[in-house]
Amino acid sequence: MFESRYRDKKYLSQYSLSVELFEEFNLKVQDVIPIRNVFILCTDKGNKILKKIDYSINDLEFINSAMKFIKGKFSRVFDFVKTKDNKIYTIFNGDVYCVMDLIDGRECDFYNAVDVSIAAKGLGELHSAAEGFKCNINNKVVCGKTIDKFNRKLEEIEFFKSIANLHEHKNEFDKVFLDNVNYYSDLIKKSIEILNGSAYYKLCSEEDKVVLCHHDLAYHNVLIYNEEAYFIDFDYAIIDLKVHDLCNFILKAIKECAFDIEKAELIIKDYCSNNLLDKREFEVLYGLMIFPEDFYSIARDYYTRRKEWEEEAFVERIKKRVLNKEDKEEFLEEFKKRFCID
Amino acid sequence: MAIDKAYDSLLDYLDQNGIRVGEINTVVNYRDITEEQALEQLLIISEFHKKIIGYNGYMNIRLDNKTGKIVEQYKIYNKKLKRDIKKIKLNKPENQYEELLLEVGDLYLDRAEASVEEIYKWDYIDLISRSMQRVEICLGCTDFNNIAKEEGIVISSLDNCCYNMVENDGVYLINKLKKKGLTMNWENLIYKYCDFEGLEYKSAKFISGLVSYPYEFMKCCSRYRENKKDWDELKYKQKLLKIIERDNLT
Repeated sequence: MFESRYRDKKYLSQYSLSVELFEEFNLKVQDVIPIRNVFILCTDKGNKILKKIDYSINDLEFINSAMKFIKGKFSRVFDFVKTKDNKIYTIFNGDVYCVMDLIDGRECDFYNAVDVSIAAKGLGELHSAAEGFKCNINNKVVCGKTIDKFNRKLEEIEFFKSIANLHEHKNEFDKVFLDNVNYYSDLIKKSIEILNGSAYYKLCSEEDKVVLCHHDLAYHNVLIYNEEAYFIDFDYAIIDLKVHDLCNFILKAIKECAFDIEKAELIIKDYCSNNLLDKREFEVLYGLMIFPEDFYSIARDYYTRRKEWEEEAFVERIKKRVLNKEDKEEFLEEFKKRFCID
Repeated sequence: MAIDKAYDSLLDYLDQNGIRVGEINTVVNYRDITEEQALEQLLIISEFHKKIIGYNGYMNIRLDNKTGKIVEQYKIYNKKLKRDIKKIKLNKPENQYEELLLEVGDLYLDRAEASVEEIYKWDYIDLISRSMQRVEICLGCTDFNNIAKEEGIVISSLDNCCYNMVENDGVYLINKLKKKGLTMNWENLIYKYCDFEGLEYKSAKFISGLVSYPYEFMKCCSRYRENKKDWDELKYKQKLLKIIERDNLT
């Protein structure tokens, strides 16, 4: 009936929920409610979000300046609550905390065609407002680096393959991985080939094609309120081609719907009601969509022990991802036809 | 804890609106249910909807949102079955289940696709928008053992309660009655239900579309495809045969 609120309980238990911390933000807190990896604070100044920051102050300042820039043209992003010292964060017991206003929306539902349409229109607007944002933090500027990154990921996949092959007693994950790895390696190669043959680098040099990308457009980071989309949690934001963000959004929105081409086409139509895409961008979008991020990321998380999941959780996930193979293949074929990609 | 508070908040809301959550004393035997009783049940369901509509949750903790999910699921079933049949035709059936699927699959697929087409023909997206704007809530399970009218409306379990189009609660009951092998004037039930809910003609067409969807058949094929149950091919074949037989009866 209600979705679980305690998936991140280990992380949540590291928070300080102290009155002194709240006082730093001039807040009197009556109640705290965990939600994902943050807390909702019920305060004398309305409902807020308390977030413990696990990245650098520089990165936080990057997000802050990006929000300020976007707010010039697009208001539906979050606001930081300032501390007594007029800062956007405070350091408490050695941890960095910030507080944001709670947006009173509900999470976007990717099964719901109306929600998806609202989100796609909103993304078009967000990208328009984020055009021209600049920064000099090297790891935040991804534009022009994708082909190199894909080549690196291909090497990593080959490395994971050698690890799996080394295992004398192959477990279930190894078996599923090895059964499929050549297929996915070929897809990475194809993705690189298409990007190399496209106007990728040219687009990266054109100002109106590069924006601040949200880069984590999961359903819970898009809130719907009064039939408009609000965007939150810019922790992973980067500067890159807008089709990078659009690619991630489309794939996230359609993967649970057997890669429904109609849905993808509607997303593009709605996105383009507030933004523009040219033929070259569609080609790059196609190249980006071919990259099997789902397969790569589960293999990386498993072989580099990035996540503290049970073995069964990994096996279940990789099996589910390879089940989508035919759906995605059909989708890409159809996408190519509909968007006239040579 | 937050979830408990959210649950208490929903219970309070229901209580304030005259809905009790607890044991249902009325015992119903499905074999004896008349069309009149089915209509009465649909009326109770629509009363429930009117009382709970607009509930917006405790703080940011909301009920699950299933608006639009069922049709998306049906579209996936259609797409996958189409591919299965194509593969069997190409490679020849491997077992008795696949032989049966080859025999009847196209018929069921046509039915399933026609059902989804019908749904889209009648302004489905507009129905979703209406449901979202009105903050409609479904009980999810609307059979006689989960919602009844005693002194007031009584709900046995809120486990499947979610944001969804109110049409879906009617579909649930009608499908349940059909599954029990009862014969009624389904069209009459659908139109009366829409009357109770104050819904337009297109909602009746949407409900007809969903009710005519061969869910049991498609679900069985999905289970076989994904190897979800510990059943062999013969068991799957038997399951399909049972569904086909029941379809012929209704």
